[in-house]
Amino acid sequence: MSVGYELVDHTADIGVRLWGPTAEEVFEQGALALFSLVCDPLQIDDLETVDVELEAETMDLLLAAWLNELLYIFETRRLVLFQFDIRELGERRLRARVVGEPLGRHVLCGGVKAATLHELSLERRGDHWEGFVLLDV
Amino acid sequence: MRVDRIGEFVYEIPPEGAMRVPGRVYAHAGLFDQAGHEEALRQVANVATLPGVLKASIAMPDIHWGYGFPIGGVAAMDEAGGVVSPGGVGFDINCGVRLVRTGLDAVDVRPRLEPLMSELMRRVPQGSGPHGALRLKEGELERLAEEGAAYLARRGLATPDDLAHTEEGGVMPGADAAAVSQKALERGRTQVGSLGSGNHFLEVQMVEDVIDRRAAGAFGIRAGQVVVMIHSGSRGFGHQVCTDVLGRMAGAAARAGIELPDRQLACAPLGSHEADQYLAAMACACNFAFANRQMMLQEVRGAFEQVFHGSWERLGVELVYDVAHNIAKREVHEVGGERRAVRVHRKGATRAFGPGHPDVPEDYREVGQPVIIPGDMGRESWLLAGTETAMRETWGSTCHGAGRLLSRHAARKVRSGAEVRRELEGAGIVVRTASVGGLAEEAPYAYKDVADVVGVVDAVGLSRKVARLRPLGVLKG
Repeated sequence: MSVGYELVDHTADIGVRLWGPTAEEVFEQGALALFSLVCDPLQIDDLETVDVELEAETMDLLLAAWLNELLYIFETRRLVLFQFDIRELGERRLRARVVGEPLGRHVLCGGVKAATLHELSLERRGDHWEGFVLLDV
Repeated sequence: MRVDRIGEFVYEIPPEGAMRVPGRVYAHAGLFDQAGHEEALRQVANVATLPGVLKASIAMPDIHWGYGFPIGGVAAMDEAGGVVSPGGVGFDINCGVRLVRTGLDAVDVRPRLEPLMSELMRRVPQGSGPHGALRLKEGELERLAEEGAAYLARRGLATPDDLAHTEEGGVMPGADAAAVSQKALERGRTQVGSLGSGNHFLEVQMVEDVIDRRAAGAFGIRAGQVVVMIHSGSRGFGHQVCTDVLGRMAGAAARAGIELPDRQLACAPLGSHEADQYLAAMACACNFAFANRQMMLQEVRGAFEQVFHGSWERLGVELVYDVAHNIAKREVHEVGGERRAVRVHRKGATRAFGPGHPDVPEDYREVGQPVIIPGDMGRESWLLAGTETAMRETWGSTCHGAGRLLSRHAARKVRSGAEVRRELEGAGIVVRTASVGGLAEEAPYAYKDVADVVGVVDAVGLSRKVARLRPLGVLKG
């Protein structure tokens, strides 16, 4: 129960519940949950690295922006991402380095259009962090 | 929350709390047994709190729990004092449906259905990411975003007839590519002419039953005929446009200390810079979607030419109509006895203008606008016509589809994709898909019976049944 994600039923879309000891780990779990719905990596190809820098008004908006940025990278760079290194995370700013492999003989799991703001949350609860994001699929 | 039944298929949520107008839901009594219906009704009430909302926050019988607006939601905002909300359009801006008629009958097509579906699969990319048929050079995507399907007409990829039979003539006014982010342009560059994933599809169908002969005649539809239905939207281009603006609007609301019932309902006053920028970018995404579906029509024409050895003109592969079902449009409607410009948000709802309306193509004007309602891939879809009642009651709007019943996860637990494929093939439906797993999520039982949804809009008069269509071949996104 220390770190992880869970997909939650929603009629037309998919909810993702996230938890971890730090906000950084919650962001990383969000990315893993997202790609579990997009495409499983084969981890055999040449790796490519992309640096991400984002700003938002609040930390939970930053969480949604982070996932949307990863979708943008997947579609435009055609990279299946599987390593997410959050290097700096503040209330309004994120810096990360993500690693993926070129989309090739992967089996696409379906698709995600975007991370929505509906019921979006991110908060510290005692000694751990929890988040929720609803994905439009 | 109180919900009063005010007609056989009409329910009202009286204003309470911050609601400025009542909620009005057109539905079958079965709605109240559906999982997630309370959340969906809460979303109807949330929309009723938006500034400038006129008359009522409306929901169609395919209502279900969405984000921001409910799916099936319709609301018109006053041009003076009202707002535009990207949450009332959604991420897939101008997701919509296009119906194509052919001069062929099911008996002609059945023997060649397997090669036809394979050819369609080869020509129309499915799933997230892959490249569409159109290659665009620097600057061309910007032109396409501003000119929509008319841009394709200039390149010989659309006929004047195609444009005349597309909502807005295939060109959404007010588009300005300068309002679109580089990211959206990058995502869209390779995606014109691609289906996408999720519930998007391309189906070869047959006209099983004609209910309204006069309207069907005007639409060029007859029993036994083969038609093609395409359901897709603005792909990554539209998703990015919505993502960009929503973060800005929600951030601005947080800064100003404004409490929204749902941040997905973030909005901006009509006439403000923020609203103008969104509307200019949204119009570009609408144009992208019109062009996307037009390119797929071109591929459908190519596939028919290849498999049935003749020109598409001779084979009669012609566009019946193309409708948007995620959009916010400036339209003139009657409010309090006078004609006024309002901003109609349709989120999972279809424009359904009645007979005589100048925006209905001339050849259909006597019978009303064609309304295309996709069902699920095992049962049926519908062709309807718009009505005068819709103009009076729902800002000229009707339902948009069957509406989900089971979540994707729940649907996967019922049967595997391979089993769903076998069942469909057992029923004589040829299936092509990039994602067999996705097939399980989109199985017929995951959806309400579209006949119930169409039954309600027909009974209350929001549109009129014209023809029932049955799938022969399915290409799933």
